[in-house]
Amino acid sequence: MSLFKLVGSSASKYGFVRATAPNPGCSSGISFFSRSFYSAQFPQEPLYTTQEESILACALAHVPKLGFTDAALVQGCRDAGYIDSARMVFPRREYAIVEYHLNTSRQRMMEIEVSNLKTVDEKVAKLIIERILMNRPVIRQYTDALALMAKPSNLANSLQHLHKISDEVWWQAADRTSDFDWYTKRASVSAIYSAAELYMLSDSSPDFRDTQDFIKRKLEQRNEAKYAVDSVVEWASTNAIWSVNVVKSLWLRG
Amino acid sequence: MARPLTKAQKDFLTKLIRVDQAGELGADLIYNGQHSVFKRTNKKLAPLIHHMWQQEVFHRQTFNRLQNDHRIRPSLLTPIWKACAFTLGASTALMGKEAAMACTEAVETVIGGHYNAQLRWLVENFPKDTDGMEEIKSMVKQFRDEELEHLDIAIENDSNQARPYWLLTETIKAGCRGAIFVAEKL
Ligand SMILES: [Fe+2]
Ligand SMILES: [Fe+2]
Repeated sequence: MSLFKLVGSSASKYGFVRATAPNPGCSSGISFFSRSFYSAQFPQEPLYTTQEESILACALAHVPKLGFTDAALVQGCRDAGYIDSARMVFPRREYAIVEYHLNTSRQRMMEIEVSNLKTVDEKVAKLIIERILMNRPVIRQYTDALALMAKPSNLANSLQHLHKISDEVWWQAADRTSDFDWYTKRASVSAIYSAAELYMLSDSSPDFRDTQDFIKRKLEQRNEAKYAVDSVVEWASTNAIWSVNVVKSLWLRG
Repeated sequence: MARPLTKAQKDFLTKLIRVDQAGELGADLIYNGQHSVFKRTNKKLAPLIHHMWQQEVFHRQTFNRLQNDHRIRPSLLTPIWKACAFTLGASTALMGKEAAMACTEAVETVIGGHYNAQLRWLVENFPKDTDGMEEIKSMVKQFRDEELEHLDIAIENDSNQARPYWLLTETIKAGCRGAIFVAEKL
């Protein structure tokens, strides 16, 4: 997460001034850590500094009323006990709140209980549904979040988040794959997840039952060969930006 | 007390696991291809090929485990490595024992050298007794030694009698180096 390293290093430059005592209510209570890369043996760099975490947690609490907006970020600074301009540490502005929501939700996926389910398919369905229901508190603002995610400057980053969600789904479902299926599996879950996010925006059924059924239906279709091929094509095209970056780094690294 | 890995260390380990996984997949299928021919054409040679093949299967399984445990994506070109490796193994075996051994010699020369370079990097960049690193070091060392053993077997079995020897080995070596270069990236 180069973004947050950048943010972390510039934080002191702005000389954080605590205007009031920090609000203890503003924290996700989640210790951020990544489970990739030898995490069993090595401690992980934290994703956010304490200041960033408390501002973003406070800001997210204002999203249901104020949306993913600069105003929510300002309120976040105030609630966390910082001056308004402390939000300058987030160069991506409102998108920082979106990312915070994505990061906290992904961390919470680790708490989803799937050990009682027998098949991988059942686990995958439950994981996707539980994850998507985490959007519930901010669902009325979620159109704005999607618009921010799709902004050209944020798109590559947002696709990485989407990929991390599906990677987390397969990891938690205890699926271990070592060949090209690794890609088809992630591609299809990413496709189903993003389609379900859009479906959910106009879903007025209680507990989003319709969205849940939509996910189950899509997962059943996944087992049909054609769907897998389609979603790989879709995945390949939406990841065009990502691929361009790979090719670029290929030449740069020599 | 363990410290977080540096970016260079993470990048190296990620690449190491991805490229070695692809390489061992290739090795598995090369010997598989050779074995599928020799079990019909050369019953005397088949058990020797089978022995090397089984070592490659173990190498491949080890890297599959590491790739999953550390949540690293496998090489995007996995289907291509599969097709190329099996074809290479089967076609050199069809050319005869010497050509198959020349193929083994070329492949194992590149792979042995590749493991050796990785081992040197690991030793230089991870101080002795870094948590969790001794296992990967000794594994790379063991695999390097086994690849070099395969190289010796190939030479003992007249790999240099293949015609045209030079063209065959150099072409395969160049192919392996190219595959390593690409698999590190994709
Ligand atoms: Fe091997
Ligand atoms: Fe070998």
